[in-house]
Amino acid sequence: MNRRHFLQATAATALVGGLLPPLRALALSSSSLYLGARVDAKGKGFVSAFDDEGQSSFDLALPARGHGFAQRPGRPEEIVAFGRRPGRFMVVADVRSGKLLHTVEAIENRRYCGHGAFDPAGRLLHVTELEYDTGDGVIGVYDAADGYARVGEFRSGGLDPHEIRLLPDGETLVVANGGILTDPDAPGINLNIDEMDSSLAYLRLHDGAQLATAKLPNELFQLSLRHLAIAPDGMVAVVMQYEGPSSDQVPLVALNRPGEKLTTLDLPPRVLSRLRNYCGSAAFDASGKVLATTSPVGGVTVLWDTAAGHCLGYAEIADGCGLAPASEDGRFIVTSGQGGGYLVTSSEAEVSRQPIGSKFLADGRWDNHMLRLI
Amino acid sequence: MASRMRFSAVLLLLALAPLSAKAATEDDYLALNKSVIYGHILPRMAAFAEAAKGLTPAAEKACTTRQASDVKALQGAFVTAMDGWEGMQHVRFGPIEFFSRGSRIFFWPDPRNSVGRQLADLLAKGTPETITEASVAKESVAVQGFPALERLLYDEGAAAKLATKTAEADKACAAVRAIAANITTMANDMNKEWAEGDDAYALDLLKAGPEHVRFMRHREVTLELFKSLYNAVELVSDHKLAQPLGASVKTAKPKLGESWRSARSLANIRANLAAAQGLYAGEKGEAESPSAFLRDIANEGELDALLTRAFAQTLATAQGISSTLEAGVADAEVRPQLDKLAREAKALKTLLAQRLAPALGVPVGFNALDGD
Repeated sequence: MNRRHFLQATAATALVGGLLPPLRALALSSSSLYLGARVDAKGKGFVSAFDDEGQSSFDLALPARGHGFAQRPGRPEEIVAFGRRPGRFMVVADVRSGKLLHTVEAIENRRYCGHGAFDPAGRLLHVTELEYDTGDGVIGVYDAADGYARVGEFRSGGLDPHEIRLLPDGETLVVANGGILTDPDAPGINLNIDEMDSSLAYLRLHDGAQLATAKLPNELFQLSLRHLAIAPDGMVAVVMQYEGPSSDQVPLVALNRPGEKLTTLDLPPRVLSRLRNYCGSAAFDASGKVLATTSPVGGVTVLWDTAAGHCLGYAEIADGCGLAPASEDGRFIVTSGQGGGYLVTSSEAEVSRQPIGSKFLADGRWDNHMLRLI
Repeated sequence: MASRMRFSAVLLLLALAPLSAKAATEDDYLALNKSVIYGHILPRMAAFAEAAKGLTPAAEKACTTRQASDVKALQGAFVTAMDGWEGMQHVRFGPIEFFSRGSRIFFWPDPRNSVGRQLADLLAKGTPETITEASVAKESVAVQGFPALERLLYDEGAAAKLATKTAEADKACAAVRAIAANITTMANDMNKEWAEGDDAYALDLLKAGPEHVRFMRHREVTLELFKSLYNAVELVSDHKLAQPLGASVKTAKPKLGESWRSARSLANIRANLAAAQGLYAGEKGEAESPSAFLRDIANEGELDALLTRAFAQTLATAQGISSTLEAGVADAEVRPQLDKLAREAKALKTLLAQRLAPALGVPVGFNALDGD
């Protein structure tokens, strides 16, 4: 019996005995545990947890394709998986028991946008939503202690709110308002190409008061700020997608702190053109010094030194979008919509990628996002 | 010994067969791109420009004579121009992207009635003198193209009103002339930018390579062409059919059809599917079409036969529907044919993404296709 089987056997015993093992036991001793959304060969959506070797320990069917995730503070085994925008569900599950705890449907005249963030106590969940009628962005507030009852909402400060994160101060939410108006019944077509207005909004956690807003200069109004990564020191990285002509060359990554201007990061034109004006996910490494950004459209994952503001290099991963930091500095896990997962490593010499030899990862088509649970 | 070697060679070939698309050379991709650009895109850009050319004089005439027959002729010019658009609207990269032309020519879908609101606003604040092509080109994209013009020509009583000599008709006519001219201009500009001069977009696409700022390989241009093909079928499947059909006869929403006022929604779909077929098979059976690429280079003859049948079947279903989409979605007799068309279009879309793209050597994942 190898270590994994032993752990699975003890997990099973513990379940029978009514005692669940700690989350730690779901992964190999030194491994991290990641959460991703996959679609199987039949087109069915799942939320799945797997370790550094791509071994799955949790796999739960979703009503449809999944998107982003949140992990409940204080209860690391409790996770929320959000449906793809414009979604009508979020699913709360226990990764240890594998059980579905709640399916929370979007209320009348609201649709989920695919992301959410807890408060530091793990009590209130803040979810990006849009008003069906108008397309206006709101943040829905849900009480995890009351079965995720919807207890309030506030304005997101723009159209098309997408990713939302809590800053390390524990008191400030940051929301990327993508600024794109779409048909909530049939998204995919930009309906306000000539008047987009994307922003990064900082909102006070306890009442939603707008503390600061950051926007790009007017000439970049067709850039949509969408996905976020937060460094331990509070630095916000935002990645974008461009809705203007595909032959334009525009920055796709920016850094920001509340009250300051957005600082865009440059790439050599030949590397930039490979990103095809689209970034889909961002994550800081364990040290908070290296930023990774994925472009599934370009099939390129770029690593950045954010202190110096320059690119460290890139790795080619076709349709690679799901992204999370591995436990070691300078390392990331990237999953692909064409199946498979990769370990991306930055060393002084280069950025390299190494496929993770896992049938489970290879068999799934992996959606946009990942979350490291431990 | 010799026969054994031959046998080994055959085995080797069989083993390599599924990978052969990857063995396609850059020259193969260049030939494919050239064939699609010159055989499909340029003729269709030119056809749209030609079709849209008739719109401006027809609008001038109808608005000068205010004769019902001339308004009727203007409606005919509208349909001709729109058919031209529907035959090339799937080519979503290049000059169509400049100046937001795609949205300006055809703003759709319109879930929040932007066209109605912006058009009412334009007519309320403007005068026959101030509503011009130049002024409309600076308005919201929603009032610049076919959907706004369709309202002015097909809304209840609109055509009869245009044929009167009232102040209200003067203003509506100013908008009709301005939008018609705006469409004519954009169609003409796109055609020129694609085809004319040393800096023609078509020529630029053929210069893919290490020195090119965007396309390092010809294969990357092939991917753009594939996406255009996919886009044509996806729009039909997920938007133009799924939305008006709704879940059932009772929940059908005919007014979510693309052009329900002129009852052209199904005609548009036919034009889109015919264009997709033309891109895939070659408009004149070109020797280097994607279809021929599958047969001759990718060694995917069976897949080509399957796709050829799928295009023919889907198009035949669309052509066999005797009703309009608007009437058909809520009609229990006609509806099954439209449901069938929707199923076939959806199956075709899946075939394109999951089978054609990898066979062409340009596999696309759903993250790249669907966005976030």
